[in-house]
Amino acid sequence: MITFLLVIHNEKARNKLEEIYIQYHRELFITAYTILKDYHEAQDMVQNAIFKLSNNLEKIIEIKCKKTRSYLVIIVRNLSIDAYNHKKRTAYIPFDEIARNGMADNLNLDEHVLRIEESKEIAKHLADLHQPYADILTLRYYHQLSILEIANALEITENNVSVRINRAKKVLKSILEKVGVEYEETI
Amino acid sequence: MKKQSRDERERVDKLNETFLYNMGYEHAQNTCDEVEALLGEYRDIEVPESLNEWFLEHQKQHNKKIKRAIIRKKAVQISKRVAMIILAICIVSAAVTMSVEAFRIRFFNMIIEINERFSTIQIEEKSTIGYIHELPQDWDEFYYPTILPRGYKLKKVFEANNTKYIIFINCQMDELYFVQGPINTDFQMDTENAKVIKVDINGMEGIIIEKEKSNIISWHDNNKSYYIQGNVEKTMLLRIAESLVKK
Repeated sequence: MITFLLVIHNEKARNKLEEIYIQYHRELFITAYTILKDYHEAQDMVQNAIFKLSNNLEKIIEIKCKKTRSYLVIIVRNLSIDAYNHKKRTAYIPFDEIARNGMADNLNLDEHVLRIEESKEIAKHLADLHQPYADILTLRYYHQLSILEIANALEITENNVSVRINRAKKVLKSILEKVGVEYEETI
Repeated sequence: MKKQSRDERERVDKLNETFLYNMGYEHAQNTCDEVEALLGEYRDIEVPESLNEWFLEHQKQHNKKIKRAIIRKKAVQISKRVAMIILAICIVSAAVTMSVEAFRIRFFNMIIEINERFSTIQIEEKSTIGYIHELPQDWDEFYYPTILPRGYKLKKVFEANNTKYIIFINCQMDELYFVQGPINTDFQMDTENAKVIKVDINGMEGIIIEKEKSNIISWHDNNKSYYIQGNVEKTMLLRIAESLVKK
C-alpha cells in the first residue's frame, strides 16, 4: 500500500480516476466483500466498476461528495449482488411476466407526492424490502443515468433495466399505500 | 375515470419525477450511512495489494491509450495539412507548367529524367569515354558524348562539309550516329508517322523524334547544330545529349 501511495502521490497531475480510487477503493472493496464474502471476487467487482468508470468519468462532477460516493457504492453493490445471484443460480422474473402484470409507468404516484418529506423513510423502507430496486430508482432519477447507461454500468440488458425500474415503482406504490394507511390511521 | 389534460399529465409527471429524485437523494444518503457503518464493522479488513497493483497497471494502459488517441488525432490533423499543401503545390505546378512553355519543357524533361533513372539505368554506360583517343588528332573545337548505352563502341569517324560524324555500334550491329555541324547545318529528318516532343538540353531547346525503330534528338546552341540517332530510348538519347563535352 505504501509503494502504491508513493507512486500515485508522485504524479504531478493526478487524474480524476486516481483521486476516485484513492478516496473510495477501500469502501468499494468492503461493500463487495460483505455481499460476496470472497476476497478475489470482491476485487473483481471493484476492478469491474473502476474499468466502467474510466470510460464514463464525465458523469463525476465532484469527487468528495455523497452523490459520487453513493453512485460508486450502488454500482459495486449491484454488480456484486448480480454476481452472487448468478453464483446461486437465482434468476430474476422474466420481462414477459412483468409485462403481463402491467407496466408500472402507468402507475400514478401523484397521490403521494405531498409526502415528499417522508421520502427518507420511504427510501429506507424500499431498500429494506429490496435494495436493488431502491438502487436502480436512485441511478435513474437521482443520478439521472439513461437506461443504456444503467445497463452498461450494471452489466444487464436495457430490457432488464426497464423491468427492474417498473417493478421498483410497483413496490414503491404498494409501500406508499401502506405508509399512507398507517399515516392516516395515526392522525 | 376523468381523462387528464396534457398540462395536468405533465404536472403529475414532474411531481412524480421530483418525488423519485428526492427519494433517490435520501437513498444515496442512507447508502453513505450504511457504508460508514460497514467501514467501522470491517475496519480490520485489508484491501489486497493486488488490487492496487491492478489499478496502477490499468492507469498505465489507460494513459497510453489516451496518448495514442492524442497522437492519432495530431497525425490526422498534420496529414490533412500536408495533403492540402501537396494539393496546392499540384494545382500551382499544373497551372504554371501548362501556361508557361519553358516550365512545361523542364517539367517533361524532369519526368523523362526520373523515368530514365528507374528504367534505363541498366543500359547506361558511364565509362565509355575511352574512345576519345581513337578520334582524329587533327580535330579541334568539337564535342563528344561521355555517356553511351551499354555495349556501344566507336565504329567510324569522319568529317564532310564541316560536319563531323561519330558513329558507334553494338554487338547487335545497331548503329548510333552523333553528328555535329555549323549552326546553319540542315539535318534532313524523316518525321512521317513520328511523334515529336520538345525537350530542354542544358538550357537549349531541342526536339526528340520518336519513330518505330529509331529515335532522333536534335538541337543547336549558339555555334553548332547537333543530331543523335539510334535504336535507343529517348531518355537515353537525352542523357547522351546532355553529356556532351567539348574538346
